[in-house]
Amino acid sequence: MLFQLQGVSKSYGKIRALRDLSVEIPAGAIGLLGPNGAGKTTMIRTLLGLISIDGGTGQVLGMDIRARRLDIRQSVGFVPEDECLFPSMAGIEFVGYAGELSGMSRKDAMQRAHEVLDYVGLREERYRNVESYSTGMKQRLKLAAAIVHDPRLLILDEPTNGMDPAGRQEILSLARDLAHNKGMSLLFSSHLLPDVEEVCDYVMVLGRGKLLAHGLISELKQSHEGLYEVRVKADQDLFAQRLVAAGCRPEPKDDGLVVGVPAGATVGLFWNIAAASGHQIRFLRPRRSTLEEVFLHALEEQT
Amino acid sequence: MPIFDQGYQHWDGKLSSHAWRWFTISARGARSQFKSRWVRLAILGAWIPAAVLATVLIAWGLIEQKSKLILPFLSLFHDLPESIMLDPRSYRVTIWTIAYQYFFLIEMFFSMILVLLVGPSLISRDIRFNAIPLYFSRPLRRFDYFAGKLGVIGFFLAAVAVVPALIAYVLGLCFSMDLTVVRDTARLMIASVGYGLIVVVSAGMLMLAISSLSRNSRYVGAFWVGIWFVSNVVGGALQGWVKASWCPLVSYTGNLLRINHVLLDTDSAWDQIGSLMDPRNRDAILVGFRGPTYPWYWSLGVLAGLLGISLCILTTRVKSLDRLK
Amino acid sequence: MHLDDAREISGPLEVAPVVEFTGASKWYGNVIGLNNLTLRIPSGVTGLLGPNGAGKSTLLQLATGQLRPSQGSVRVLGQAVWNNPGLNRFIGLCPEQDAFYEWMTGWEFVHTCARLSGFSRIDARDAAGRAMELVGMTENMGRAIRGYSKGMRQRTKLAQALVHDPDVLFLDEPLSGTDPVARRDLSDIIMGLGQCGKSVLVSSHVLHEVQAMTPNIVLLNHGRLVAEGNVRQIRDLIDKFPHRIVLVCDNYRGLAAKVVGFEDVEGVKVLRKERGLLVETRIPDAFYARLPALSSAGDTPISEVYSDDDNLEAVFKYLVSK
Repeated sequence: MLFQLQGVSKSYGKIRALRDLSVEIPAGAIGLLGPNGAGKTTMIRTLLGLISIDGGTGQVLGMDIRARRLDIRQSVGFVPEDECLFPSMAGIEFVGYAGELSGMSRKDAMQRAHEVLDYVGLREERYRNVESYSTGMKQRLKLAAAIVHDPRLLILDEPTNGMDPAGRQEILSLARDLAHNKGMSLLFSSHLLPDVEEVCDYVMVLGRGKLLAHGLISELKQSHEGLYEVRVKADQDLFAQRLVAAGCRPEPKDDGLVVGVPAGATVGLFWNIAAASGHQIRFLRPRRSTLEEVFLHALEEQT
Repeated sequence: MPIFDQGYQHWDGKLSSHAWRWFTISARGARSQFKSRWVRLAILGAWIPAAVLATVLIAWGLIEQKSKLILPFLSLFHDLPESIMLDPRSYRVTIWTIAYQYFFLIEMFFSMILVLLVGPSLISRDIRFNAIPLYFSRPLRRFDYFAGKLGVIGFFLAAVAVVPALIAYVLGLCFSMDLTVVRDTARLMIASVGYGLIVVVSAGMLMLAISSLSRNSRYVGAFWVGIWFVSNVVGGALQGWVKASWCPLVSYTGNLLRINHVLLDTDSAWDQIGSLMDPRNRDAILVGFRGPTYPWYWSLGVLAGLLGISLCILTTRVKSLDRLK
Repeated sequence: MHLDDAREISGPLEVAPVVEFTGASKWYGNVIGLNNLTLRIPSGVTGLLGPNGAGKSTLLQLATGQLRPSQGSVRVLGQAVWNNPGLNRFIGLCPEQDAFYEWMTGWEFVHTCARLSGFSRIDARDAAGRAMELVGMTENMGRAIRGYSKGMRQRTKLAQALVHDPDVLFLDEPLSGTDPVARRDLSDIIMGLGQCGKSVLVSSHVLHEVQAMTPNIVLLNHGRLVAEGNVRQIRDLIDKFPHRIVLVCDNYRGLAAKVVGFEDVEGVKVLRKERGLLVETRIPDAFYARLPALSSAGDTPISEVYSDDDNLEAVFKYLVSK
């Protein structure tokens, strides 16, 4: 078990950030989703042992969140969302300092810092002052500082916020590598659902302090029997008419069609119509839910 | 295996005990402050009074022994009363005390300068660059953070006030060649260390508190200069106009020096000097040298009050992350 | 939702909403911001993309009259935009940074912006109410901005950009920091604005969102224009990288044997986990045209076909990476 919460509640004055939250999450790459104000930040801080909860119990990596807060932070790495830096240091000093603050000796911290900076891809830049880094470099630096003490759980809070596509890809591939190949558990909190889908296998959805849904992404996505997404190169309307004639129910979606086929029909139906009318089918796949649909559906169920 | 994995490796090494976490912060802070040229100059400058103190103590030790080495310099001491030169040993404590009193008076200036150079950026830069979440997402409590930052100031103040005082003491002891010196003047050594601690805690926490109030180190520095000079000036002015006994309390450095006098027991020293003087002029002359005579626990109260305010400011400004946003 | 009928002040209605750069360059001392840009942005939604430092902010600042081009011209709605404050009446800008008067309520802020555009008090009141309703802020518009979440701030920024019903809108990272619900709403609003006939230029790093809003893009890199137009057409023009088409078929090896025989096919890769093939071809038209016959042949029915690089992410990567 990665972490478990039983009936956790936390209020700030009148605002109830977490209401009786109970969840059990297995190890692996976990996505944390939820609209603004759902309690994601509060839950992350609870897992880090940074706040004192009003009610309930919880364990992170087997350690109680009330009794062993410092020990939890020893085994957890955190990449915060906002821009944050230790001022006026070179990159290598930054990561070394982070390691020392987690209790490593100076020599261990420096050796490990170089290793970890190699991994995130900061080469000569590590000797420059961190204030001169670009956004992508700062993000990778924060990631390096979070894994220098080899945590068992890495928490990433909106890691790709504001980064250009190349930088986003770098962070996502690092996160994916750590989670899938290096045995580190990940808690990835983000509003960009395709990013979460690329890195995580398991998601939990929070809404207004409660758990709305959780499970493997592949299981949460519903199957749609008899529904296909199709796009043809030209004359899509004509194609749609032929489909209707064959007993299907096409509906436009983006620049393609979502088609419900009559019971018992197979994919061959589309090929036959295309062959007959000379259309080029450029896209043909069974309808799959997107993570966005799972998310919005979970939110709707709450209201 | 001939090809080695270049990717991420796991690490399991020894971790140091939590008790030393603050030391990491202090060491890092001190190292980065030491790079500044002005800090190094200030430390160098601050050792000059220490050298003078050591010289005075050494000279007195030589006088006590009536050593030949001091003969060429005896002309410097010609205006001291005869009774002192005839029996130096009985005036030992007095002379040492007065030497230390002046040393700390001058060292106060250098201490405040050093705190001005070293202190403002300690917390204000962390706030400006938002380093606080990076600190507190590690196994670190607020106490460790404050102790670490205080340690930076403590390191420099100790280097400037406490360590030179102790080294001068040891030198004076060596040149006296007389272990009874320890019995007589041990109080001075303990007082130096005690006073150093009080200055570190009081000035250090006050500087940390001001540093946490602003993101801009320059404003913090200006505020500190304000506390130092303005409070002195206002205290002096009030003494001139209002002439009440509490007026000296307004000056921050005045309070610290009052505690210093109490710890060193300068009153006894000046009483002994006074006994050598003409009773008619005695009080008029001594007033200038003695310093303020209000009860020392008033100053302690003021310093304790400032410490309390500093703690309140620090705990509010450097919030733990147990809040909504 | 049509805002056109609410407009009372007349403007250059005859000219189709268009932003036009003609040989525009901008440098800051020695540093080049934009280099010889010639571009026409039509009505509808257009995505402005590029890595960091590509010149997107410079382009937006030139287009809104905040900077003067060092060379060339920048025209909006037919008029030069530099030193032409009257043109601001028809331009709306939603900047990336937050620069609100935090003590104002959302409605007050938008109302003030409307007044600054020259609306009378009554018109401004109506316009502010309409704008806030359009962005879905009617419930919260009476609260001080200080207490707004990021999503609410973005909505308010969008409201102030369109309160005066401009013909041209520049949106710089309009969806940044918003949760998926707000993203969906704001995307729909932006697409709606494009359908109204306005010219909307959306600058963003989040490629899948831009793709959902529009197929038309402008891609910058190192201050120069790299590509402009429909994503799929641009993809077709990229010769260096063959098209990658995935075919899923139970008898994928049999299908591979057939496919490898075609002239235009440059590579076939077996995807064991998906039970399919990744085919690389330089003439996608010819390849796609063969698929119905291949599928109906009997022993190799194709159950899925899709292209994994027919999207904006792939186009971006191909054009921008070194």
